[in-house]
Amino acid sequence: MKLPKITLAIIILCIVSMILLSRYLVKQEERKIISAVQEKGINLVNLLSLYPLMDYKPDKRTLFLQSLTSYQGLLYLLVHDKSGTVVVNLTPGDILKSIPPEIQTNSIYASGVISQNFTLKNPQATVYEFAKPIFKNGQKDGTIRLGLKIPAISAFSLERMSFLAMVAFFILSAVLLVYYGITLAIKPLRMRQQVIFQAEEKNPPAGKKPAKGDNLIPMIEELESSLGFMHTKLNEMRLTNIELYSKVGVMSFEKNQFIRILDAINLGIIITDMHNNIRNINEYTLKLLSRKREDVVDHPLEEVFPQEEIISFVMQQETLEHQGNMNYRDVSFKSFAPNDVFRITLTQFAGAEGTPLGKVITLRNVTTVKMVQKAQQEFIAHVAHELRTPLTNIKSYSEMLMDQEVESVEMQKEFYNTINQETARLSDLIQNLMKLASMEMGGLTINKGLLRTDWLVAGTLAAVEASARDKHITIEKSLPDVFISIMADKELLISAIINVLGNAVKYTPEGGKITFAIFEQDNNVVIEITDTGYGLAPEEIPHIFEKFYRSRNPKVAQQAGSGLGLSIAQEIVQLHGGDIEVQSKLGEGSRFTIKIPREDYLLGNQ
Amino acid sequence: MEINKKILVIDDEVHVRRVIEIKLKNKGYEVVTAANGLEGLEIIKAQKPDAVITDINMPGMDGEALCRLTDVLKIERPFLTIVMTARISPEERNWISKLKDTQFMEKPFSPSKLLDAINKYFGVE
Repeated sequence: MKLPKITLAIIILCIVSMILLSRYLVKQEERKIISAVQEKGINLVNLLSLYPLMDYKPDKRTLFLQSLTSYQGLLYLLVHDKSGTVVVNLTPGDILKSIPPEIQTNSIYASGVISQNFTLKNPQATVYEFAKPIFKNGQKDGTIRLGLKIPAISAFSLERMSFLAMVAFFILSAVLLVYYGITLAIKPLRMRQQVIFQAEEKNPPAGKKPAKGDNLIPMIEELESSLGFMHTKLNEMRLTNIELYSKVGVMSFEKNQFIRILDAINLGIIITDMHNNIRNINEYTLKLLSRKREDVVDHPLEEVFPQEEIISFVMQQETLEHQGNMNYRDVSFKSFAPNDVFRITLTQFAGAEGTPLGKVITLRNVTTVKMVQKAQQEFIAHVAHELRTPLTNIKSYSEMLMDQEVESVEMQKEFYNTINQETARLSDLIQNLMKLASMEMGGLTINKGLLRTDWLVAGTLAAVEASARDKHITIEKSLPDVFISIMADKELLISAIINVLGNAVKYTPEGGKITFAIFEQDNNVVIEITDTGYGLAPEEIPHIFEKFYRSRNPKVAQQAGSGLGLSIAQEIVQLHGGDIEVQSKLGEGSRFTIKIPREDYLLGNQ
Repeated sequence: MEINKKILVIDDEVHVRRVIEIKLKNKGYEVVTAANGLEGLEIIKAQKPDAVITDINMPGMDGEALCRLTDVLKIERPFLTIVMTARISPEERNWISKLKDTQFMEKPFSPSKLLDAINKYFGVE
């Protein structure tokens, strides 16, 4: 009676586990089908929304969509225009009436792909609805909706039944095998028992000890060897475990590292899935948006960037995919960074088999780049203008002479003189430009040496004396008793001082006075040039060191000048670690103060 | 030979004014000059010249403002305007091309070509 009981228990256990297993399998299949249907639906609605359905003629549109209704499981297909009116209706029977109204509302007002399900009463079925807005030129133009039916799943399909039978067979075989195995394993024990029993029967009190030992030794050896085998297996498993753990550790470290790298990049990065939901976003973008990661991740792009140009760009790139050209756009975000310009790029990325997985959107702040570009353009335009002015004079004057338009010898001489002056002006301008360019590019080598400041006086005053004498301008010198020495580039510093001193002579009316002073103050050597010239209006002072800036004062503007002299002087003084300042009053005169620090010299002396 | 046409030259660069003045006077035109747009406008109103030659980039009132203004004034009395500039951008070309009886000449310019353009306009040999 013992054996049938066990068999009965095994059979009951088998049946129960079969039922549970089949239920599990049905559920599993249902889940698989639902996810397949969802994938199908999302792909189909995405695909359809890319067609310019609203631009098709109604009959062509219906025909095109009818070719899709043969798609297995497609229950209905609806196209709404932007006002929500149904323009295409491919729906058999009264299904449309059975769709709950909130489903339609949800679909029409969705900003991206939406998937929702409901139960249909007649015929009984679960229906999944997928909807996506249709965009045209970045504007919502309509909505496409489609419903997919989940096919019924029979619990008794042939495949499942055969699978279950197979499982039952395996369980039975396993039970039998285990049973047989146990019997085999306990056989030696039984034999030993029998031997012991037999021995006890023969010699009850004094047992045959040697016989007992004879049987035990091989058994113990066997057990030991299997124990050893199990031990090595266990060790192997432990090792694989450690390996696995370390792999997991490395992977999570690498993932964190990846996130940290994204956050360290000085560039906005947004990673989305195929449905434009944000999957990953870096610190830079979060700061830009001033939002928290958890408020943004898993949310649609449209929600995070409401009404921004970025959305229309992403939508456009979706349809223009693989066209290659112009894959960036410069935009500014009105809502959070209105003054900055960002360059957006978009790249699709795909999985191992080439199936698209999502997009990488980068945002780069190009405000300064744009500003530099603009400044460069302005600079070049300015240079062209400045070069053309003397050229114009040279060309027109020489042509006049060639055409013999000037008869008097006196005037001819004047014309030649002007050509000569303008040529000098042009070459000055070119020289200044070269100097400026080499300084801007950092290519100007500054050869500092010990420089006695009295050399500065002689070198600079000689250059302006002639023109000062012509205008009856007196130059007064205020020099120290003992000349201080500084570390400086003699030629550069002299040319900087000449630029300032030359301006003083040029913009001081006849009979004026210029004071040239050198003194020491707060560990600086100060060179001060004061004139009784035209002076500067307060609003002009901040601009006079800008390249090409020229005073609007007609008395100044009528003198030839490139507008580069002070800019170069400032650059040279700054190269020496110094500073140039100006004080001025319109109609009274100006004072330029050049300060060169003495630190370098002191260090060199030690 | 005397040509009874008055021509106004507006340029902030004295050399340019001088060259054009000599060139045109040698041909027999009457020439008046101005150093900026504002002075030029005064002369246009007071002396009603037959042609105006103007620079664009000038302190005070620039040539563009002057041209736009005189384009309105020209409804009463048409005259030729020659705009001269060293820097010509597409935008500048654009506004110049839209004005009536307005020509454009790039600097550095040729005084004889300028004279040719004026002669052609007035039908002078």
